Amino acid sequence: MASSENISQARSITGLRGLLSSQRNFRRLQQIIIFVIMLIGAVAMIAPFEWMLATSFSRSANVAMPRIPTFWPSDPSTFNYKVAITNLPLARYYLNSLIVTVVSTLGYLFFSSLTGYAFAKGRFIGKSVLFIILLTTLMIPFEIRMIPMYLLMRQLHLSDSYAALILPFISGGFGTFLMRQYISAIPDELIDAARMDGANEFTIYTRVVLPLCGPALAALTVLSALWRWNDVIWPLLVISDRSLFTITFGLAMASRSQGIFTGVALATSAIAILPIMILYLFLQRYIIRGIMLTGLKG
Amino acid sequence: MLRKLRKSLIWYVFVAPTFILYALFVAYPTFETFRLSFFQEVATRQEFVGALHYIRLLGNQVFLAALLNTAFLGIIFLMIIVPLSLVMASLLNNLHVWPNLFKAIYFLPQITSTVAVALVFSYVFQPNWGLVNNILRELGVDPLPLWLAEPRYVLTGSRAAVTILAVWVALGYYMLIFQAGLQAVPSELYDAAVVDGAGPLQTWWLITIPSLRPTFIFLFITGTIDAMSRFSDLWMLGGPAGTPARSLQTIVMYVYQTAFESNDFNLASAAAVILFVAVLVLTVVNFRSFLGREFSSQSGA
Amino acid sequence: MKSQIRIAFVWGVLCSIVLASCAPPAPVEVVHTQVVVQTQQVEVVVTAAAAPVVGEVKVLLIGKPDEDSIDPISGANIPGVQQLEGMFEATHDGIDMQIINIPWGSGATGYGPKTESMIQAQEACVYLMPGAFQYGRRGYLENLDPWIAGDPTFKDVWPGDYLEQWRGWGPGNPDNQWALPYSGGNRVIHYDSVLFEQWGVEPLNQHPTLDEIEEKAKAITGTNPVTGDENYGYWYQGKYINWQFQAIAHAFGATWGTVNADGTWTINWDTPEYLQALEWLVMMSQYAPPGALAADAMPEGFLTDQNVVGIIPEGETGYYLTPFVNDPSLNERFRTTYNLQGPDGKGGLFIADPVAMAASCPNKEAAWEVMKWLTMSSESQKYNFDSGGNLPVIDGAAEAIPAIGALVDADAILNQNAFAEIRYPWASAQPRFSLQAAIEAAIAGTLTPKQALEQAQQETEDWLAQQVPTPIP
Repeated sequence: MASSENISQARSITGLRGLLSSQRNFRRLQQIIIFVIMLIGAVAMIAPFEWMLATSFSRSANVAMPRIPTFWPSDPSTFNYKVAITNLPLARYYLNSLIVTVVSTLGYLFFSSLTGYAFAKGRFIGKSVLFIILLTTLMIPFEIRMIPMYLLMRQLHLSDSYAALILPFISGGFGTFLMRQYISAIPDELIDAARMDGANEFTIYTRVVLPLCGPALAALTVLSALWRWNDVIWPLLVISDRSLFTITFGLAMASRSQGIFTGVALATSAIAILPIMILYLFLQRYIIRGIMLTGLKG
Repeated sequence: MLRKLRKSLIWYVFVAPTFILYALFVAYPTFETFRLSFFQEVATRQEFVGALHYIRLLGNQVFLAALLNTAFLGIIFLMIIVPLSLVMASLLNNLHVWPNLFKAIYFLPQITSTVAVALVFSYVFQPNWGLVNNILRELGVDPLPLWLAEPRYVLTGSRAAVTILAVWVALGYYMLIFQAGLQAVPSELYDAAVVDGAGPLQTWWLITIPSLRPTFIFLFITGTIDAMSRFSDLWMLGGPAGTPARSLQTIVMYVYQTAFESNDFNLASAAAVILFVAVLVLTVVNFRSFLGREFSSQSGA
Repeated sequence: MKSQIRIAFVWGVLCSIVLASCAPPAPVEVVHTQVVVQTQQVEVVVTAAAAPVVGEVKVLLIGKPDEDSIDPISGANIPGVQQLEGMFEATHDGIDMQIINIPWGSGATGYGPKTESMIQAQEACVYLMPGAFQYGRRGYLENLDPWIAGDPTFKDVWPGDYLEQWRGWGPGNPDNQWALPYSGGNRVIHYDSVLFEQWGVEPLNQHPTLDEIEEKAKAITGTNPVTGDENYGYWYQGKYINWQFQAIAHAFGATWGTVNADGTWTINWDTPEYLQALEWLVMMSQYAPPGALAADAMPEGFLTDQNVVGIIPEGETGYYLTPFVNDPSLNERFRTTYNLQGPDGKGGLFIADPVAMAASCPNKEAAWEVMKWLTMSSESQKYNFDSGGNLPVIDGAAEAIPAIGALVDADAILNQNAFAEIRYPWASAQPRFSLQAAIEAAIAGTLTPKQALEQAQQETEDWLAQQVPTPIP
């Protein structure tokens, strides 16, 4: 934005006044071209979702598909949704997703900020060593650890439980690292002043530190929620009880079973996706800001 | 000393939970993956077998193909997504009409679960009636591409389909990171360029792109790790074997299939260790090549 | 100091909150509010009838609908698994049947690991158990021979050697009856008689040969002379191509190998017969719609007027049976023949999942009653059909579900399993996945049929070399 404005300013300043009107035309043309390119991209982004909706509302999608692209159901019906809701306990799946996402995100926020606070402002023996140990998490992808984690869950008899879906994710090197960086920027004077008033460290953490961590906590909330909501490989290892399926995992299992029907599959996808999309519409400013702050995605 | 320890105590309480969980879910499993990779289950007992599994893996065509395939899909993906998203982000940065709306739309696939997106795309790329081929048919393309039914290295095969899917999903995110980088470029640099009489393209090439180096480093490193541990979307589209003809199999899928379908946890652990080493090496290489470039450009300037 | 104690306390509380909320949900098992009353039978039978069998029996079933659900094609109702419990308990007063229903799935969360952990934990008495041989070998199962011998009400109600299929080796006894056939399915060949007529091609024979299929598939591929649609002679389900390939190969005279005395397998994919079969399949794939390699089901438009495929081999029970019964006219257009047959008169996948009894079962009398009812009763067989389109396995299937007996091709549909090849022990092990990948590569043209089979053989042998004889506890 800055560059083009400055450049056009520069051109007009360097005495090409005669070209000013064509300059304005040029800028308008430039805007139109960019707009059209962006619009094409946006259509490509939305088209699959729109097609998913159109097909999911077609009664005959389970047996035969129209041979020309349709963005409006050929024979509108809510049949596929009725089948999806009746044949799969989607409400239960949603509830499980909510429980898992909310509990692990709350845990993630609490432990990350608490430990982050200790690393940012605490004084204790072994601090830097411990911090470096913690940072190794960032370099050990989950996929490398998954086999022993699966075996551990079985040994602990935690397979097929909420604990299996939540416990491994209520703290993490990344969250701690982010919170430490953020809390380090809080002036020591604020904390010292609270200490002078006789507050203990936990009070300082809850009353002084946490209220100042809004943006970092918001970003972590977004990330943790997206990670947990969309995870599929971990439930694939530890959950076989259908009453514990999350919505994402339930969708994966339904569609991977042989003989899923197109219309029902797409209706199920729509049910899994749409509430999140609507939430996103309201929260997109915070979500995008959070992603930009951390540079990490779901 | 005692006093100091006592004062420290509270901080240990603060870091304790994270470290207990770290020990359980990071340190122990990582160590255990390494340990398992040197053992073999014989009649329910684990026997030490040294590097046997590594030797088996390095002579195993399926594993090597999965390794190569992971690298191939990752490289192609990064080669497309990075320039594309940079151009799109730069364009969007210059757009005055609804920039935030576009940002929100492009980011939409990111908040949607990979599972749902892959499911929808398995139909989008269906050769006979999928969205893509239906549009191509309207445009008069004949014969229609086979997409997910074509395992060969062609521009309309299964690898192309999943790359299009990955780019479609990731575009908004990469654009967002580039935009964050673009906004961090000091405006004095642009002013200086303007004074020097540089055109918009020159400014972009000479000022903007070099200033984005940290963004490039970040995207290449995280992009490489993501690409190396790719699983969900390909598993949805091709099952654990990455059908057709293993064209979509990645290392993580190989680990999954070996551990949980062939029940060979030891061999799978060795494959996971190789994945770990690959991730580590690539991260270091990425760092060094970028930092190396930084040094040479500094000495050149 | 005080504050630290408080922190520790807060910690403890938080942890326990987190842990409590993580506690597993109430078990899925049915809460039995119903009190089991030993009814004093008034009409005492004069003969020396055994005391009524009572108690609770846990049954592991796989892939039944948890709740009443809807058929995605017709919209008909599909009864949930609780209806099966109801049916059983209506006729067996003292026995409380508790069904644990899990999905088939695959890998870590598939039925395999779940069965394993349940049988080790002695959680259930009766198991739907496709892998009954393996569990029998390891000593986990009850030999049913004494139960069969001691029960005058037991009858061999199954056609052919269905029952004998489930005899196997076990510790201390080389010949045991490990299981009873319970739930069936088959693989047949369909053809669209309307397309055949439009192209002026004679219908398929009841027992089609490879040459016949090749000739007729070729004849039907191209632009339909009546409708002008693009037609295809042949079909294959790419993602499950291995089963069709086995049927073809067996028709060429191939056999996969043998089970050795120590329980390991010898497998030969790289034989002239398999090569012939793969070359034939690759040749036939050109008569199939493009993209069939990515298909995991019947062709688009199957069982509708929009069908464009002439011959559809490997028609699965789950796809055709319920629609045929709901609308018998479909079977007039979409005809059904037996699967391909080899020189021994056999061919096609054998699908009959059995039920077995855990050796650890504390209440074997009641478990035996449950097993008999599940496998032999027509109600249970009918439920299998209603809930998932499974083919009844008992001899009197046509009586259990008269609608199947009334179909035009009832003969092939009901009797294909009597011609099926004996079950493949490697059906869900690495050799299958190796061969599957190789066939895909051959059809796609990335490997020649010869190379593909060599690759499959190599991988299979590598895998077999790692297998040790099954340890006997």
